[in-house]
Amino acid sequence: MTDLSCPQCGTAQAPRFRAAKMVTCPSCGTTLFLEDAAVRLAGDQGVLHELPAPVRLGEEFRHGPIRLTPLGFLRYDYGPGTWDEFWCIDPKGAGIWLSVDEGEMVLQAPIPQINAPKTSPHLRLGHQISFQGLDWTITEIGTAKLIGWRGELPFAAYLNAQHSYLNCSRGNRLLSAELWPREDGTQGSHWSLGQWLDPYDIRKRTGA
Amino acid sequence: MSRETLRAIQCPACGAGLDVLGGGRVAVMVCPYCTTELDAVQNFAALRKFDGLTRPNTPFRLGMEGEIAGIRHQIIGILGQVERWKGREWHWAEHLLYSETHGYSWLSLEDGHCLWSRRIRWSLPEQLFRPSYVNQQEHRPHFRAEGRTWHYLESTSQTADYVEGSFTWVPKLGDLTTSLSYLADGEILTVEAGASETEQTLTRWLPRAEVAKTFGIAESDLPRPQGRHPAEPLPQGDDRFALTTAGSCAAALLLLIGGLNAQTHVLLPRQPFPLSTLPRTIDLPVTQANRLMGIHLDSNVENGWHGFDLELEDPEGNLVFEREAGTSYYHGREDGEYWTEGDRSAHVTLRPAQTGTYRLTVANGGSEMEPGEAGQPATEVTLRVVEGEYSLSWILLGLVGLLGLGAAGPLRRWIARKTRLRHGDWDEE
Amino acid sequence: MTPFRLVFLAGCTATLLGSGWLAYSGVWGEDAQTRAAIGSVRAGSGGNSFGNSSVK
Repeated sequence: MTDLSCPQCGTAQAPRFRAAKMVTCPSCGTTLFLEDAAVRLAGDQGVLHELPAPVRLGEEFRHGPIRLTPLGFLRYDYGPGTWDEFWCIDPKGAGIWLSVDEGEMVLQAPIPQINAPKTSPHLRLGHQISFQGLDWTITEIGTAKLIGWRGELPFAAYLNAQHSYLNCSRGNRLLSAELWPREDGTQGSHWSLGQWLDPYDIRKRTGA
Repeated sequence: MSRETLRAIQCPACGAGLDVLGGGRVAVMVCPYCTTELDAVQNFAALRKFDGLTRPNTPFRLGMEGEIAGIRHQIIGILGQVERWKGREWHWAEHLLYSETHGYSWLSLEDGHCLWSRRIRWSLPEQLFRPSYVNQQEHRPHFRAEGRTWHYLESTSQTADYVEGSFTWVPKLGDLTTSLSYLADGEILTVEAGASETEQTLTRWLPRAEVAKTFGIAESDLPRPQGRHPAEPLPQGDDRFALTTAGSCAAALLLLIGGLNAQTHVLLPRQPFPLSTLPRTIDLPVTQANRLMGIHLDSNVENGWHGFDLELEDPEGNLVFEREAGTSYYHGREDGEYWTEGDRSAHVTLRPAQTGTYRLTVANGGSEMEPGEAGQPATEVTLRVVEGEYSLSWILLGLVGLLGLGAAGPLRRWIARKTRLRHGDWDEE
Repeated sequence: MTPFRLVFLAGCTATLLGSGWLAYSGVWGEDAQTRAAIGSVRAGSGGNSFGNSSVK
């Protein structure tokens, strides 16, 4: 690993995720952008404390055959409350997002743009979306704002960035999308297919 | 996650101070004092008022906290539920629980039983949760999921008749919801047949005393439990201990056979006597008084019956008994099948009252041959006398008893499983 | 040692010792015909138990 250190306090940074683009310095809590082996100070805005959750940063957990270690999280505000998106790595170092909202935990695998559902920008609750030959009903739709982060993240996040989201739950799977307007007037979207995890089945690694 | 962990408001209808419970997903709040429904998303504006509600019989109050499955939960809402069928009514109370880390679940109080339910998302065979499908089945429907076997228990049509506290949806009083439930050991899986999505709930029975203790109430505050609940855990026998203990005792019993064999004492070894040498008197030096003595005879009679007269005198020369012992043997061929009948052996068992030399006299008692068959009276009789005999049947009975004890645990569970399923509404007719 | 284990152990031991003792003593091991013959000798009839064997 290249020697990166915090410009603020000098503490050496050793991200566990090789492709980390943003870290919060564990010593002084400053956010650092990692760009081509260089460190750029991003200030201490947006750095949050962890809220009680079934998983904790840096602690490996198991759920059946799944083994993950959360390294960082983004916190979104949806109005009446917030939810966290944990960036987790598996033992092989591959990353995946885990959404945690009041005990609802969903492991979200990104859907490549080419396979993503084609939708109109005027989606409403109850509308059907076709994906993988199945009809998915929109069960939730809303707007979220990024209000903070902590730990290691795979991209540089920007405070107060807003996006729309929609969720279609079907049995034990969740099809969800983040939507945002592009400058050219079209809609940008990022789709993922999620698998629900039962928080009561989360097992912490003992002695970790 | 709620941004504020605890807030208090004043009910806009009655002015009562109310704690805002639950997380960010709470949609409405019903004031427990005046039963006015408030919009939890839009600044707690009064939406409507429920009139004439009767609080269900529950000692639990909003805001109480307790630990279930090792996780701290708070009671944030209370629903009264009723099922009406053929003029009868069943009432129970459901308490909505909230945990900051694990979300929402239910604590139900049903016939004095405490039950904990939570939402699950499993891949289940959908048709098994359609009432029409279940009604068509001849045998109790069942399936395997998540490593257990689920048997159809019952279908329930329930209505909420009381509401207080916070809810993540808008509760509607009087709306009928129908659900089907399946039973596994100690767990009930309920699927509510909704319009778009089927909601699955997993219910576990909780020990009353533990629930009362963790929520800080007295167990006597809970209504008395009525009978067993189908979700009650099955009697957990100590199977390994039972099998080991019963097995060791059975092995000891088998070893005992060897011991018993060793202490039998042969008074007259197996010895043939030609019929021409009868009657004959044999001395039997008995050493074990009051133990079983066996006099065993074998004859070589063919297709007939041959009897022997036995007489036994005790050491003092008194007659102990005189009796006849019959041997018989018939055989032949019928429709190409070979058959045999009768017993060429005869056994006489008794308990000599004293030790000393007994005298046994054996005499020819005569024979009866089957007419028309190539029968032959016996030409010799073989005698054998043993003292200190034992009854093998008691050992076998003991082994059967130990087998029963070893199998008691699984058998008890099997019966308990059947009894629990009988609580449901399935009728094999 | 739980009460269940104690009771179970006692049950197994009782079955083992009980059936062992009953087998050793040969309880109910005497055959009925001999017992009747002994009985009739004691009653002073001097026998007369011949001929009650069943003849095919």
